[in-house]
Amino acid sequence: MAAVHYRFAEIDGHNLFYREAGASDAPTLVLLHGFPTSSYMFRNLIGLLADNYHLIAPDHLGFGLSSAPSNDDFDYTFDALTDLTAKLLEKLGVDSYAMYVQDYGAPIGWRLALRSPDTVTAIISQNGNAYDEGFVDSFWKIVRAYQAEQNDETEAGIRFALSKDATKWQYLTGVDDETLVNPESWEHDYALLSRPGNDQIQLALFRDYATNSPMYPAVQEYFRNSQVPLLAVWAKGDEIFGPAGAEAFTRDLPGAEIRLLPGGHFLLESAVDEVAALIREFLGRIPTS
Amino acid sequence: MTTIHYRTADIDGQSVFYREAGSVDRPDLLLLHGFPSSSFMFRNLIPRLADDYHVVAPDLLGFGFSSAPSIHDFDYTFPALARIVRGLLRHTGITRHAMYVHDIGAPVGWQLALSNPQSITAIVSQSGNAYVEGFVNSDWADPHAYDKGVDSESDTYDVDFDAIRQQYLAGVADPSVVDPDTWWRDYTLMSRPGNDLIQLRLLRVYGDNIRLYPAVQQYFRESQVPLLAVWGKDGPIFGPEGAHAFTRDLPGAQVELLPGGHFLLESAVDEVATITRDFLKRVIHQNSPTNHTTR
Repeated sequence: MAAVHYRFAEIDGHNLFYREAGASDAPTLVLLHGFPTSSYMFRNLIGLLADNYHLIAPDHLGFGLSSAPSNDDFDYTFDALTDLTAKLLEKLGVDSYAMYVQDYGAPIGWRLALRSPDTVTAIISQNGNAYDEGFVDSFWKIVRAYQAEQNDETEAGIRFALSKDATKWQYLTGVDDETLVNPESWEHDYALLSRPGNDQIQLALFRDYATNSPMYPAVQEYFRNSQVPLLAVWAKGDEIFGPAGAEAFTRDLPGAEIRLLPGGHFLLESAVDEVAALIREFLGRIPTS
Repeated sequence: MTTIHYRTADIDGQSVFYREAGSVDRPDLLLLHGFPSSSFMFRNLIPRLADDYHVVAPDLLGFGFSSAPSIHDFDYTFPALARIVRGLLRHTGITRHAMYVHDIGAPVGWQLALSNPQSITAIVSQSGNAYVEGFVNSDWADPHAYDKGVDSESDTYDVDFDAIRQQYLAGVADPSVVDPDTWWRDYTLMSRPGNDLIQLRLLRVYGDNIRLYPAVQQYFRESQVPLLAVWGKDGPIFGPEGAHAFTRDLPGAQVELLPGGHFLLESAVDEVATITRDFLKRVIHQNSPTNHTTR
């Protein structure tokens, strides 16, 4: 197996953790994780791609093994997380790359693309939305209620998302054979969510998530103008981002490849081989400069 | 990548977590983890063996995702941990198996071998001692010093984050290849209420294992079980002398000293997998024609 390196970089005074594998002169693929996990979600995918690609998977600030300054000391927004990611890539000398985005990774990835469209060679979205379609209402109505008004009732509702039960639900919902999902996944995430003050960080990002939908028209315009190669590889059983969000990409990117697979929000837990094969095939068609 | 199943079984009223991979009609291989880890330490090894072996890796009671009853509800001794593992072997229909033992997985494995020598087809020991040689002084100033009796209510155990981290990093030339999830995970699990006392109890009874070594060595002499000692030669706890010592009673033992530390699989899983495959192929497939000799 290609060696995976576990590294830290200091960015704006914060310690950012990232996994790195593959030859530095191979095409770069940046892996951007979702809520409430970290680059941990890519632990198996990295090994399956590192022979052909240079992989970089950062933990967003407040997640995984990156620093998690308190919400009083850092203004947690998707813009701010994007700033740190951009600076990390700059520090690592990455100026042309494909990206794999999932969940929260998507709004960070879209911001990177909007700031510097020419650096993005291809996009793989795994349950990472750029359209209002596919938001599953049973989940999002709780988030929207909290975004609309922060009171005891709406906060109590959204705090369920920080519980161990909800974390486990995110991993198991939509998966046929639950024995395929490593319990470490939700235990790992839950342990990190349970750190003192991490709840305030996550609540801040739930509030700021409201900035993403208003950005979608600009993202869609970027898709139309760039015709960036895009693979939407989507778990059909995700009850947060449904398949309609995958199909929607073809509206602005007629050449987008849409693959709906059995599985849940964290598709890589039960179908990493299938996803890796689709990625290799997709990226194999992208000319590298 | 090989499919790994994450399962639990009820054994003697305890929930025992185990990873299982590979076809059940392949030769069985039991993986027994060390302190303070769990079957997590085998996460990268399992896919490298599961095409040829039926691999079962339990979390010992008190570790990982298995139940961790308090010391008042379960008598944590190495024979008791082994009894639970035997229950799991019955549960999974395993009667004869090879075993890979690491650290405290070794005394658990020796219990299995002594109670039923015929059930063991081969042994891979990775920093799992059966001799007093090789206890690194800095870590084991006197292994018997732990053995000073149990049950003082004032007995406390300091779960030290840096000490756990050092178990993973000491002896590793390039620390950037060691996944920090390892020590974070161990630290999180050891920080559960009451888990410190479980670990302390196991340290206090560790001396029982050392007193068992003569019996284990006699088992080696009588059985001449095929044994591979694959050792992180720069580890901070069990030095290479512990690997060489096996040849005293098992002249045919294969001893492989590799650069690396106590958790050798974190930095050298490919090398260990290759050595283990070659060893098992040589000793199991040849000796057991009824087992599958074709690939």
